[in-house]
Amino acid sequence: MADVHGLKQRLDSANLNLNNIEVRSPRELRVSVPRQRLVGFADYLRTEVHARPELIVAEDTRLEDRRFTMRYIFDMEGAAGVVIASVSVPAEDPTFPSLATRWYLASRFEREIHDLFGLVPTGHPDLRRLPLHQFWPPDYHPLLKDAMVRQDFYDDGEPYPFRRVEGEGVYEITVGPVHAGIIEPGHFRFSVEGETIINLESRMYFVHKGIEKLFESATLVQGLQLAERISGDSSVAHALAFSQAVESLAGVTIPPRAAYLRVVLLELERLYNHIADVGAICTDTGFAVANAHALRLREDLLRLNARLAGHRLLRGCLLPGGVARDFGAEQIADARGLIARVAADFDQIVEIATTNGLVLDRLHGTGRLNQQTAREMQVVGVPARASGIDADARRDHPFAAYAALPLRVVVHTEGDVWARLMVRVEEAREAARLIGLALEALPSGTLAVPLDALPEGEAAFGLVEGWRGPIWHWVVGGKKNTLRRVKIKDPSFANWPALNYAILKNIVPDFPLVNKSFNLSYAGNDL
Amino acid sequence: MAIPLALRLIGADKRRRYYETWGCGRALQTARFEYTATAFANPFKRVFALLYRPVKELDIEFHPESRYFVRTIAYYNEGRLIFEDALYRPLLRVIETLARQARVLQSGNVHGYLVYILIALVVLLILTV
Amino acid sequence: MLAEIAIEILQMLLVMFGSPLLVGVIRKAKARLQGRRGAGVFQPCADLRKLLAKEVVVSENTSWIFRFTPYLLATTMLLSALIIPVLTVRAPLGFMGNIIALMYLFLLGTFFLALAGLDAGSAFGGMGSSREVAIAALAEPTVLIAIFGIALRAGTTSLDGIITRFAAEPLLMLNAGHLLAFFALFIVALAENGRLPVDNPATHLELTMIHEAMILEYSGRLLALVEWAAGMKLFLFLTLLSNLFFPWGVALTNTPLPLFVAFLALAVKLLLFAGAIALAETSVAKLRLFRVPELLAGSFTVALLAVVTAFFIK
Repeated sequence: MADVHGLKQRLDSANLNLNNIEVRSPRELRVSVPRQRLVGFADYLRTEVHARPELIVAEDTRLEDRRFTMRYIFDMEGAAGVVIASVSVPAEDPTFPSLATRWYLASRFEREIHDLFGLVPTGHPDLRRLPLHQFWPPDYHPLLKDAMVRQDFYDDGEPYPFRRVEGEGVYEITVGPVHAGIIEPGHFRFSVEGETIINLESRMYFVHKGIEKLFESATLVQGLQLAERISGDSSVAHALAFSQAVESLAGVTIPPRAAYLRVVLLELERLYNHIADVGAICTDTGFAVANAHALRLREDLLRLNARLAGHRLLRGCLLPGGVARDFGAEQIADARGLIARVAADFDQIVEIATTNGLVLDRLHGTGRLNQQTAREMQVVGVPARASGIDADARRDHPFAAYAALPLRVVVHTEGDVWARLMVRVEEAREAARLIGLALEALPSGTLAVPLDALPEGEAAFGLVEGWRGPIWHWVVGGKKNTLRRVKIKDPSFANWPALNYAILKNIVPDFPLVNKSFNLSYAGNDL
Repeated sequence: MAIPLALRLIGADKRRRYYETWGCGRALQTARFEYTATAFANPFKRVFALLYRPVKELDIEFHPESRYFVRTIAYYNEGRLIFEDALYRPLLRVIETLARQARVLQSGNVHGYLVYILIALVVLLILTV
Repeated sequence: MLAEIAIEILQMLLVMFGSPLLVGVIRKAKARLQGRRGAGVFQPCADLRKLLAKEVVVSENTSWIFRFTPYLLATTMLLSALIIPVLTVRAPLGFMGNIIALMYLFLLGTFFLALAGLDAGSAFGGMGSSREVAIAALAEPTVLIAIFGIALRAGTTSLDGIITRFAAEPLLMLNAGHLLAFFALFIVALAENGRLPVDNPATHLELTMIHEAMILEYSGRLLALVEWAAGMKLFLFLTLLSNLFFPWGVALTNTPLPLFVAFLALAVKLLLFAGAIALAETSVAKLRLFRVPELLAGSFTVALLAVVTAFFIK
């Protein structure tokens, strides 16, 4: 398997007309690719190192060099590291070659860039609007640096062109954007024959908040606070990804105590969310008793969070350069005691639910996402591991103190609701175990290192395996220690389209269960 | 009946407002969102799939380079009725054959029909006597 | 005569006010079994009062059926309250209490509710109606067969007659057929009243609903009537089950003391049933929609066995 240095040598000799091949770290290779060579380069990476673009970032750098800068972050197979290709797009010809038919995920990033920057991906088969709904003026691209606040929003009343299924008796069920539960808005369009789902398209971005725009010219503190609020249930994961990107940019290493405390915080977040999800999946099978108890455990954990961190959702604990809060001996004893009790109760709940034949019957075989589709769609996180994809950023791109801890990556192969439930169950147990280990091995020392000013115009990424899956933050330093551009990829961005495939040939009343087993974030997706 | 009256008596709110059918907050609604007859009968057809033997076909046209871009989807659904095939059709065939043979009697000649009536009367008379 | 009318009115009032309470008791019991505190038992009554005080919003696409159905539902339930021996077998309208007629009175309500579900043109309503009709049609044979099982043994299809007979000769009930019929009817009662494992009365997920999906468009007093009728239907089903299979306590004469005893007996029996339903609903999950026919086929088989044993084990 090629490592970063090996790949550099191969690229040097491959005669691909590349510039500035630079090994930034043992796990990161950077290269400039001429626009017209992008497709060839991507194909080379695909065949030679099985790399896939996990993140595509556009940036308006017209003020600096009268060009747009695009970055393609390819993740190499076998945890070998990443290749970051930067592509320059001249302002007078704002087009770039599309990778849409090679990687479906790339097509979604390209649609996003098309809406937000007005750059046109040539050869893209589906350029319907994605983040900006139709009432946005067509020539308004808010992520351009010179985009002004505009008032001329106008809804022409034209419906969004959903795919239409031809055939007798096929009808459409529209669900959302307003839902019956207290959840965020999203629209699902089912094409249904009787009870069987033939096609599902989802339309998100009803809560497009312009978060990436808000990051522009924010200070580090503002950026951190914003990152914590991207998705309420992933406060730690987003703040951590942001902090790691900033630390990589500033070139600092965090102190060991901070690294272990970060593990504790991230796993606390994973624990309360996974337990709540297990309960919620049981509710959707009609087995409410499991949920009542899961909610009780979640509440216990949230109160523990408040005692440990001063915030039920663990906000305000992290800091670029380390952590902001220390745990005393008493707090550590409190946490270990409570988590042991929660883990024992959780085992009982799981036992009760998974020995109930009626519950099992609802879970097995429902909403199956096969491994090939999951791979091709670049599904990540819990649904990926439930479909037999052995990937976890905590192991593949180690951060915090994970390299020093015996982490077990949970993989199931069935790809159905049952598998996604079991991945959550086992990851929750693993989280409880890791918290115990990290608290036990907690080294003493300082909590944070000071940061120098961020190098202007330089960029780096932070990658964190949150409880939903990997979260990427791409941070570009700006003037006077501000942020010039931040791009966020929540796992939900990659996973929402996969739901449309998992649900095919299932019956309508099973959709809520399948949806719950994915439990994707609207807030993380509709940035 | 008495119930509306009783409701009035206990002071139920009698305002009534007309508005669109709930469409989950979407502005535009079309007949496409209505339940179809095929859909309505579907649970039954599924339960008695043994009798109905539905034939289903899904035609999907993909983008030539990626199966994740779908151009068109068409769905065909044909219900075969076992009763129709095994019972009604053969029965119908027998009746049709009989009817076709009976047409020989129907010459179209008025005199011919008068003869039939006469024969029928005679037969009836003989039977009653 | 006046006393008899009074008794009928008493039965009707009991069903009217007992039903929301019964629903409240079941919910409370479920909450306790799940380890929750739960709302008070009078919560459904308070809900009904709240709904009655609210404005009605009617879809522009509906016809008279939509507005008429809630009244029809309430009427059929009240009518059933008159002919079912709730407290006494000597109710003046009891002569109409033919068990088969009663089942079709219930079905009339189901039929109109299914139409009303389709009326507004929303996909959810259609979905609910389609599922409800399929389930009602599959539950139908079970009801008839199980009732034949009981009626054969009692020698009559009159509700009053069956109860009088069994109350007089409890030994008649002591056989396998009777027990089988009871289980068959209990499963049907769960299915017909939209309880778990067939339908989940506590869900907010439109796509999984059956009964709730049909009534999704209702609001205000119309919704109050529909909810209330659903409560009465459950009350009547359970009353029927308890009085047919456990006839002790039902008043055989219309004098105050037996009537009072009947009232107490009914309360105890319904409480037990409420507990049984709460327990059943806590320990099962909702069936996948196309497993419901299998459950109903099972109950049909049980009902059939009940009839067969009625023939062979005399």
